[in-house]
Parts: sequence; structure tokens; C-alpha cells
Amino acid sequence: MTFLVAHVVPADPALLVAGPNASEEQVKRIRQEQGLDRPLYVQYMRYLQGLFHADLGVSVRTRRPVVEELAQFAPATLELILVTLLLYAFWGVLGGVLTAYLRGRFGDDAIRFAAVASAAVPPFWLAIMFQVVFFGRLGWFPSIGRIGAHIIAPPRLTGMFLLDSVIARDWLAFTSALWHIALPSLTLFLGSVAILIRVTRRGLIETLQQDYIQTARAKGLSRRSIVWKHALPNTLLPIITLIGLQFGWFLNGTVLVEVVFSWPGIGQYAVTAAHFLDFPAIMGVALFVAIVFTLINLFVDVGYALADPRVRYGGEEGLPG
Amino acid sequence: MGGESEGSVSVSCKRRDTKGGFRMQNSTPIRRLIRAAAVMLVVVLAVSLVWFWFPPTSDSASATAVIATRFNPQSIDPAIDTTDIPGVLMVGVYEPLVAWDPVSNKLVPALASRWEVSSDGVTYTFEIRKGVKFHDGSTLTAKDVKVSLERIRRIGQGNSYLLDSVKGIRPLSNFKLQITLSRPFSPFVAGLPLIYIVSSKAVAKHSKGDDAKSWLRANEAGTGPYRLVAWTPNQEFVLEKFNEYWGGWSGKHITRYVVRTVAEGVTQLEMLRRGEVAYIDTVSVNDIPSITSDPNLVLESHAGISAFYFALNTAKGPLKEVRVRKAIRLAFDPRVLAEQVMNGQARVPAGIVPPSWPEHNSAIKPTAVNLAAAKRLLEEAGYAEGFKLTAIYYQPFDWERQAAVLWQNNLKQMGITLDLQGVPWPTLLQRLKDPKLQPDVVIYGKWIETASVDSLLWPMFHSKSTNWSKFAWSFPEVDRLLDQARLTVNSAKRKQIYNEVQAQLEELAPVVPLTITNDLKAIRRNLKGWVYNMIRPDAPLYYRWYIE
Repeated sequence: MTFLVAHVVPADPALLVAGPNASEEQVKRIRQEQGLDRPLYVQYMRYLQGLFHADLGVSVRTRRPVVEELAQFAPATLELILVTLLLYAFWGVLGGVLTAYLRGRFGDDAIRFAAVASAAVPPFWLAIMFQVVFFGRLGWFPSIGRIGAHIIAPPRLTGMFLLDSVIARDWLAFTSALWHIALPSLTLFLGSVAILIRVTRRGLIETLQQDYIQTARAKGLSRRSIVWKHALPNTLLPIITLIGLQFGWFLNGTVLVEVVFSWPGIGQYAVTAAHFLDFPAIMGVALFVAIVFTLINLFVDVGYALADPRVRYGGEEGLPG
Repeated sequence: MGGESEGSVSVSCKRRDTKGGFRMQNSTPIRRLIRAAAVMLVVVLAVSLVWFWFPPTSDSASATAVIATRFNPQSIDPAIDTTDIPGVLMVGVYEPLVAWDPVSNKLVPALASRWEVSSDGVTYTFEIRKGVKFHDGSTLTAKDVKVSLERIRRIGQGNSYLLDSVKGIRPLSNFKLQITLSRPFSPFVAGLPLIYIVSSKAVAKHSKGDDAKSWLRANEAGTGPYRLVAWTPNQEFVLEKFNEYWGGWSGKHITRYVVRTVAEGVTQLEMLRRGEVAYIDTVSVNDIPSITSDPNLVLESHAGISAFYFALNTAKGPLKEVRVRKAIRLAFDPRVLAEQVMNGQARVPAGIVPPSWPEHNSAIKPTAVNLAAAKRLLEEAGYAEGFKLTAIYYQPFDWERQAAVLWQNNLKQMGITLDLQGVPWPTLLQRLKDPKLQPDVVIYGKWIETASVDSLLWPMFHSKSTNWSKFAWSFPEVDRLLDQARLTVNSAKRKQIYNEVQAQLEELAPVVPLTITNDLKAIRRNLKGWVYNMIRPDAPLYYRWYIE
């Protein structure tokens, strides 16, 4: 589908690559080199053939293997998503618990209103406003990039600066990387946390109405204990699902955030590829996202089994009778 | 009543439970761990805060400069990557034989210390500058120039068209090179600032049967004042001073640049305001008041040589008729565009060649709106009832859309409907070049790329041109004049020919000139050595700048 959509756009990537002064012969030569003069189905078959050898082709624009480029840019995106996911999971669950705790009171309304309001704001606008306010006016955070201009990046092991700097014990790089990731991750986080708060809140409220909770209350357990130790664990399944799915949504959301914050990840790479109709790169990004989504679904399934021992696969009974 | 559930011990252990009783005792190590992690996080955040508010400064006032650019180089082969995008990096590390001096606005010696042209205009002899080192340690000789030029011709991309007339390249000695053309080509030397010289040793070493394309894509082998020491595509690149640079390092220079890719103009401006960068290249007219009111910032606004226009499709429909083209030209008011839409940051054009350019025909005056005359022309041409036109423009350029709306309103009074469509760049190019997809009007821009107006007129209007700006035009007389200008060695005679070309184009009216935009940049006040570079306004003058 992505292949078809990318090729249906009326544009000639060979013309772009050849440059403004190229002759028709030069454009034709580039088309031949890139296989763009072949019928669509032939191009597609060649692409599929390459997939079996982990060959996603060569970028029309940079002339580098797409696999190499994805490997270069993916860690930055993964780092951003993982940090955001931590914020998301922690504050989303905490927010949900608080709003369930304070149900019906001002605090409940305030938190839910703030969460929904932040979700209603377009992420690119939020990103620019954060830059203007927190960087431009207050100077609390840096504006762009992954690390300070005067700091040398840590030796590349995973490509994630936070992790690599901890491994290298480069605390200057670590603090710089932490400060640089703050605004982009906050932008992604604010745009999505409302849903988790609401799901957690609803799940918790429903669970707190169960009979065994009444029993726990009757037995004199503290409210904190009931919520955190008894009710919340039984609310985990939809929360895990949402967190897992959110990983994939963050992958989409990083596109605009990475452009605004000049974050050199897959999102920026995808935007540049789309701008230049770099077909191999576009297909590479689409495939990358699809693989990540599939893996996330797998992890979510594993998470189910860990969170709820009653969930088993492969022939055992699910719930006790 | 054991410890099967907390409830079963709650009565006797209630107090213990609320204070963290039985379960708490078992989870105390976990709580200690959580507490330790929290303390560490607070310490890290406190250190970060202190570090951030007192960031490490550069080692000296002029040593390192951070600048922001919207350009995002992806590959830097001088034979292939010749647009402004990689140019922002390459101008620091590569040099040509002949350079454009932005102070005198003339061609000056660079890697060639002098040159001579034979009287028939086909033989050029260059003295190669002695004592010039490449970044790989080898010394520049005539052989390097020959290898560089032949490599560009062989690969046949980028600026290779500037060498199309070259018949032979022959080193006469280590430091003397002769280039013979197949015919006189008057813009030849004017194009040389765009031809970079590469180390032949590096090309030989890294060529794997591909002319070193795969290596030079991501590595440089130039003679420029700076070396590329680090490069993260989509993020930044770092240039450091090349100690053996032939131009030397006496006087004030910045020795290290960190060039950050920042796509958004708003972000660039905030970075400039806070002193995080010393120069930005993306300034909107709306930002001008805030820049000029800040005592730490300087707005650099200079009359550019980029011409924007409505390109008219003379191959189809009513626009085939020259009176129709002249009529719709009279419906556009460039003054309103320059003064109101562009807030005074543009000039009114007079023909297609910018008036500030020496080869502009001074007899051509700006067009004034005259709807009555326009309607008369339409009647004469048999289009009094009006017709419909489709126009496309590059979507991010909203000012182009505004210009088209101004035009649209006046055209409506003449019974002409103009349908506007913003399209992405690849689509615009495709529709510009493909006769099956060409609209009636394309809003486009072209600038003078070399030190000759040939680089504007020939690519746009010659019927053999394949340049992006070439639309559905074919004017035999214009072709003849442009070819004649190329063969004319005498500059005064050449100027006369270009005057005639411009006069012809005024009569043929294939374009409606829109405006000549100012080049807008902004710098910190302590960035010195700034000079406006008319030919390459987006190329930072790394070697000239210094921080005070």
C-alpha cells in the first residue's frame, strides 16, 4: 500500500536527484540506475526480493543503504519514545489513581481538564510554544538537538545518549542529554497522557466497586493499600495495552516533534524522504514502523501474562472456574 | 490467622499495616532502593540545573561559533551535490580556481593565482597557486585541477553543464594548466566559482571503480580554511580550522564552527535571541520588528538577485496569444506586493533581470497596473468574455499565494478566473516539466547563479535548456541571441546583446515579473566581518567572520 501511494504521487525523484541543471540524458541515467524506469510491479518485486536479504535499497537522495540510515537514526527516536513512555506510564497511572481517589472533587476535574486540554492542542504548536516559552523567554531548557553544542557526544554503543553516557560514565554528556530530551518528550507526553489517565481512572473506579474490595475495606486495610496493592494490579491489563499501543502512536507523533526540535531521528528522516520522494527511504520507514508495531504487540501479550498469572496461552484454562 | 492475606492480619496488625507493617518489613529493601534512586535523581537534576544556568563557555571569545541553518546536507560530493543545501557545508572546506569576492562583487583569484584568455576566447591558461595544501596533506598541482574537472564531466551531474564547452584540459607544468574550449563560451570563468577542486590523491585512494563517489559523499578532500571534523546528518556538522590553510590565520578568525540544522525560523530566532547561535539564515518579514528592537541583534536585509514571476504557458490555451499575456501582465501590481505583502522587504522588478545587476537593460521600466488597457488587449485578441486559468505554487511559500490572490482579484475584473493550487516541491517540478501535466501558470523563482546573466536567461528561456525553470517556451530569436552572447568575447558587445534579449522578452511577455525579494539574515551584534554575498547569500562566510 505504501509502495503504491508513494509511486502514485505525480513527481519524478530522478529529476530531483539529478539537480536543476541536469540534461534529459542525465535524468534518464539516474532513473535507470535507481530502477525507476521499470514497470511498477517489477520495482515492487525487486523490492520484495531485497527484503529477504535485509536489503531495503539505496536512498535516492543520499545514495546510502537505507538499512544503514535507519540504524543511524532509529536510536534517537527510540530514546525519545522510551523516555516519553516512562513519563507517560508513571504520570498517566498516577494521574488516573489520583483522579479516582479524588472522584467528584475539584482535584479530579482539574486534572482531567488539564489532561484533555493538553491533548486537544496540536503537538507541533505545543512544541513551538515550549521552545518560545521555556527556551526563548525563561531559558530553562535548550531549544534543539540531543546534546549541547560544546559537549562531545558519548562513544556510540546503543546510539541512545542517555544510556551511552551512563555506560561511559560521562555525567556531563548525561546531564546535557537529559536536559535536551526534556522538551521533546514533554511535548509527546502531554499530547497523549489524557487517555491513560482516563482509562486508569475508569478501570480503578470499576475495580474499587468489586466485592473483594469491600471485603478489604471491612477488614480495615488502608485506602492507600487497597488502591495500590489490590485494585490497581487488577486494572493493569487495559493499562498495559494502552501503553503498548502508545509506543506505536509515539512513533507517528515524533515526526512533527523531531522536525521542530531538530531531533535527528526517524521522524525527521521520514519528512526529508517524503519531501524528496525518496521511495526506498519512505518504504524503509514504513517497514520499520510496521516491525516495531508488531514487536510491541508481542511485548504487550507477554506483559499480560506477567501482570496476570491467570492469563496463559497454549491449552491451559484462562480463569479459575 | 496467618499471613495469607493482609485482611486476615489486619485487626491485630492494623497499625503495623498502615505504617507499613508485615509487608513493609519485607519490602524495606525495595523502599530503600526507591529512596536512593529518588535522591540520585534529585542530585542529577540539581547538577543539570546548575550546569545549564552556567553552561561551559567556549575557550575564548572568538574560538567557537555556533550558527543555525535551515539547510540539511545529506551528501557532499562536489561533483554531484551542488545546490545550496550541501553548499552550506562545502563552502567551508572546498575552494574553486576563481572565487566571487562579495566586497568588490568581482571575480578574484582563488586556487588560480591568475589566468589569461586567448583573443579568440577558446584557450584559458591558469597559473595554479603554489604552496596550497589539501586537508589530506597533499599539495595542490595542475593535476588535481585536471582530475577534478574531468571527474565532474565524467559523472555528468551537478554543475557539469558549466564545463560542457571544454574540449581539452592539459597541465603545461606542475603549476600551469591550459583549458581549451570547443567554441567561445563567454560565461566560462563566471561559472568557475561553482567548480570545486578535489585532491586527486584522495580520489585515487578511495575510488572503488566509482570515481570515489561513495567516499566523497560523506567525506571531504578540499583545500578550504576549515576541515570537516564531525557530521551528524539532520543535526549538525563541525568545522575546525585547517592550520596549513594557504590564506593563513593572521587577523581575527573563528577557529571552530558548530553548524546546527534548525528547520523552523521561530526556533532559529529564539536561539539567536538567547545567544545560543551567532547567525541565522531563516528570517521571516514578520520577525523584523522584534529583531530590530533587540539591541543585541542585527538584521541583514539586502537587495537580492532572485527573480520571482508568474511563468505563463505559451504552448496552450489563450496564453498562446501574446496580447493575452500582455493583458494579464497589466493586471498585476508589484508595488502592492513589495510594500504590503513583503513589508518593504522586496523591490519592484523591471523585466526579468534584477535592476541591480550590471547587465540589466535600463530601458525596461516596472509595469504599472492598467486594467483598461488590459481589457482592450483582451478584446483585440478575441477574449473579451474572459476565460479560466490554473496556477500552481510551492505550498510553503505563502507570500506567493498572497501575490496570486492580488492578481486573481484584478483578473476577475477582466472576466478571467484564476484557480490556485499549492503543491509540494516534487509535484511542482514534475508539473513544470511534463507537458501532459503543465498548468497555465506556475509561480516560480530563479536567481543569477554565476557572475553572468547567462545563468539566468539561458536556463530559463533557451529552447535547449533542461533547467528546472524552463517552462513551455520556445522563442527562436531569443535562442539565437543567447547563443550569440555566449560566443561574444567583448563584454560591451555582449551587454548589448543581453539588452536585446531583455527587450525581446518584454515584447513576448512569457512571464509576469512579481518581485525581487531581499535576502534576510540576522546575526548577533558581536559577530563581525559580515559582508553580503550577492551570488551565494546562503553560504556563510566562515573565514571572514569573527566574534568580538
